[in-house]
Amino acid sequence: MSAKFQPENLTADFVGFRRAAFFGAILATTGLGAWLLWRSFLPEGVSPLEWTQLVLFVLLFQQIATGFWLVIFGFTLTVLGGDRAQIGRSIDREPVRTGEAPATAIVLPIFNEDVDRVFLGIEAMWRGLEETGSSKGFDFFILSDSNRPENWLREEMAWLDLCKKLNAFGRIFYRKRRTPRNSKSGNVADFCRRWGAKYRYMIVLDADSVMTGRLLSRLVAMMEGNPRTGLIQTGPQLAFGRTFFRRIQQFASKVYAPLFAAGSNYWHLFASNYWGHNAIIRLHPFMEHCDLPELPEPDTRRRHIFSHDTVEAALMRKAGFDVWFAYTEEGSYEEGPPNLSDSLARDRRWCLGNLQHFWFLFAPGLDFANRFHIWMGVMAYLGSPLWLLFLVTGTIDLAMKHRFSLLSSLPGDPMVQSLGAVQILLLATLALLFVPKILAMLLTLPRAKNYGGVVRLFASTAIETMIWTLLAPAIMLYYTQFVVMNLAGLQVQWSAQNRSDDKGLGLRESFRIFWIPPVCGVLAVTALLLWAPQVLWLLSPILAGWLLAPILAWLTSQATLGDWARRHRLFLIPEEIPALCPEELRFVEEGAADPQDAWNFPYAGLAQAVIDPLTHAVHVALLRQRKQLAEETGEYLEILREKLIEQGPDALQPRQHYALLWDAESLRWLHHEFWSRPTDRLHPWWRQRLREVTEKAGLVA
Amino acid sequence: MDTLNVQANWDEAMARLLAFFAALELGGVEHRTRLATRILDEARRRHEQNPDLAPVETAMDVAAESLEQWFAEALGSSHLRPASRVAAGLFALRVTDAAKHWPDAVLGGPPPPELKAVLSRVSTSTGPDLAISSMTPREMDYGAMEVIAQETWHQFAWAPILQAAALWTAIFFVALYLYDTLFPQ
Repeated sequence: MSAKFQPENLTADFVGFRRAAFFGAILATTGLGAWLLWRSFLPEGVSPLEWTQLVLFVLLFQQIATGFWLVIFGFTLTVLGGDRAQIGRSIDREPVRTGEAPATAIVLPIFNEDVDRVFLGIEAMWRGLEETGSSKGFDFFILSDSNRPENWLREEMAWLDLCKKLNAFGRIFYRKRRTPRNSKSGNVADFCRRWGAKYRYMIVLDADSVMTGRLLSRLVAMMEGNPRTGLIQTGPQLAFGRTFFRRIQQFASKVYAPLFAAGSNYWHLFASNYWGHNAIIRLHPFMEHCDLPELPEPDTRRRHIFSHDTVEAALMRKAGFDVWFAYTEEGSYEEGPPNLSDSLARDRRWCLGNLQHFWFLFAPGLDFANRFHIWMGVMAYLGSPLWLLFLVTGTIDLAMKHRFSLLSSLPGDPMVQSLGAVQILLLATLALLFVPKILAMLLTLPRAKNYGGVVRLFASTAIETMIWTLLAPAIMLYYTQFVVMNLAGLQVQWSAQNRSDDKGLGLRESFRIFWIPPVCGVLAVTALLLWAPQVLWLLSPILAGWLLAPILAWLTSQATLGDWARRHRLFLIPEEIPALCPEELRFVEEGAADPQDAWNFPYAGLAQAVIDPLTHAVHVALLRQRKQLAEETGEYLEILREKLIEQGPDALQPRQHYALLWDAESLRWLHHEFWSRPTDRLHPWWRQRLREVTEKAGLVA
Repeated sequence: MDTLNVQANWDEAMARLLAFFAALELGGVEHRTRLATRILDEARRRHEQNPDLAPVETAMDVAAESLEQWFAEALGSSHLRPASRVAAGLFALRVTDAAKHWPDAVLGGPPPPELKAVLSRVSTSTGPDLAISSMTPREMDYGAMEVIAQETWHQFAWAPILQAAALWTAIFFVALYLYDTLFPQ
């Protein structure tokens, strides 16, 4: 067996060489591209418009060059047998069976999530840990900020049932915050303040995360073996995709992501990033150094950092602890958004968070690698308006040159000449964009049978590339909107809901959501036909993407199309082959249940808390005792509960329902009133519920 | 009130008790019917003393009291207020499935010692004991960005700057248009 990797043996020269090689390659590529563009401007002299294009080009081209070189370095390392300098190689490959692991909290901050799915994931991980034989040190914490009564009540019952099923009282905990301050990061910080001192490590998960017991144990072993390591991020693989959108995403993440990950690890080594979930954290330094500071914004509402992860990784590094990326570890999973609309809803939040990170770009004391992570995060969204600006300035420039060439007496069309000069650059850009895909596919070829075979692997890659090529221009428009509105301090409205895979977008709904790209497409085509018809062919992929955006969004949101693709073994990933599927994933996939009828009507959560004696009892028993209520609060709650029983739930606002659900006294009163009032004195809504429970009991209503 | 109405009211009380016990998942139909009949007998006695209350109200009051008394004996916890005792008791019933293992025990008479032992072991705690620690953000130096931003926000009045920028932009485009019109290339 080869010697284990020891992170502390990494020398400054080794790290310096890697970073110089990586960033040197990016600089050289970007410089070459900029020089090619500048040369294409030269015959006419460089105008202010062209200087603008040149600056924009450099900013955009470095992004593409970074992606390209990540893959080239990743590919080279993989072909050569993998990077020795990776945290996963600091411990043995064999499954860890160490008996009791050090105290480790697995925390799941949740907010109105699919309750069945969350608890199924926990059960799968619990069983996985038991398989490893080292489950004893692990405790689970479900940290709920859910503000929908249905979710809250169902979470409580699901927690109780799961603890009962697994005999896990005292090992699986449920915490509901009364005041959900500072969203997810506040929720995790609240856990740290209450119980962080009891645990050495914390594994942070998302509601849709699943990690194998083996990986959970290995992460702890890696931390134990490397006391200087503060955080280890795993590379979560997308899974459970049913809609076409999810399937192409999970295929892409399975085929391409390993090379990007290997390339990333090559240059950042111990200064990796944190993605907010599927990662293990050493709690003591985290609590000591990583509580989020406020931003120096003049508006107090904008001082909270929305995307906490990148900043926490930077603060961990600043405190002198390593942050590693365990990118070769198998067994870390999450779900992607089911459709473009949900994906953009998520991007809207991430955009604000990433733009906020700009504040940290020049903060003293941060690691260079963290600054680069921040820069890439900012550019992931800022790149879109810059790309749009580049397109607009480029088109105007070409159109003006064409116009002047028609007016001048010089032979030849400068636009055509420019286009000729730009051809090399265009080809180079296409190469930078598509070579990574080709390399990733080549590397997958030996295992093609796990991806549906060679032909289907090619077909899946081709379709995935085509769809993303068409979707990218529409996404660019929305990212531009998010950036502009966020910078202007405006709230971006987005009507997306959290849909299950089964319910795709309707065609009309898709046009209602995605009307901006086709409108831009029609305007752009009209303008180009009028003023620069020669550029139309050059911009045709972008224009087609804009015009087709609603149809593409609708098509890709369909589970039927995704199911069809799976039946035909397109976008197949190894985890979908039964023999290769980890037990934990299979457990979650097979256990997915249909929504329960008892919770499937308006105000079901409130109704269950008031009516069902056992749900009511569990909820009331779990409400923490409050100090004596202020007299006004007590009177207010009395008015609310009387209104609720007399006039039904429509008479109250959702926040008033929520307030009543926090008050045990009100719930007891409501429970008693519901069961003891004569039928003719009950509001029709309550009367209907009474009829249902009577029928359920097998009695005539 | 006529006899028919009176009978209907007591029927309603009986139905409500049966539905309530069914929702509580207490024993079988026979046990629930026996309990409901017993409670209804007590309710009839009370109704004679307080006829203003509807039979269903009296019956459910008696049921609630019975539950309180039974759980007081079953849990034996003095630290729980009567109001919380029923919730804690039902929570324990749900956790232990005691109503399934002792189908006729709940409200059926004094709780058996084994059942009391099982119920008393249940805790309604949802988290481990607290280990409160401090987690506060450290002072963050944002460097030059913060200095520039603070100076910008506090020393510049944005409104006149934006107005001037808008004016000069307008002048620039008007001049450009005039130049283009007067001196066509």
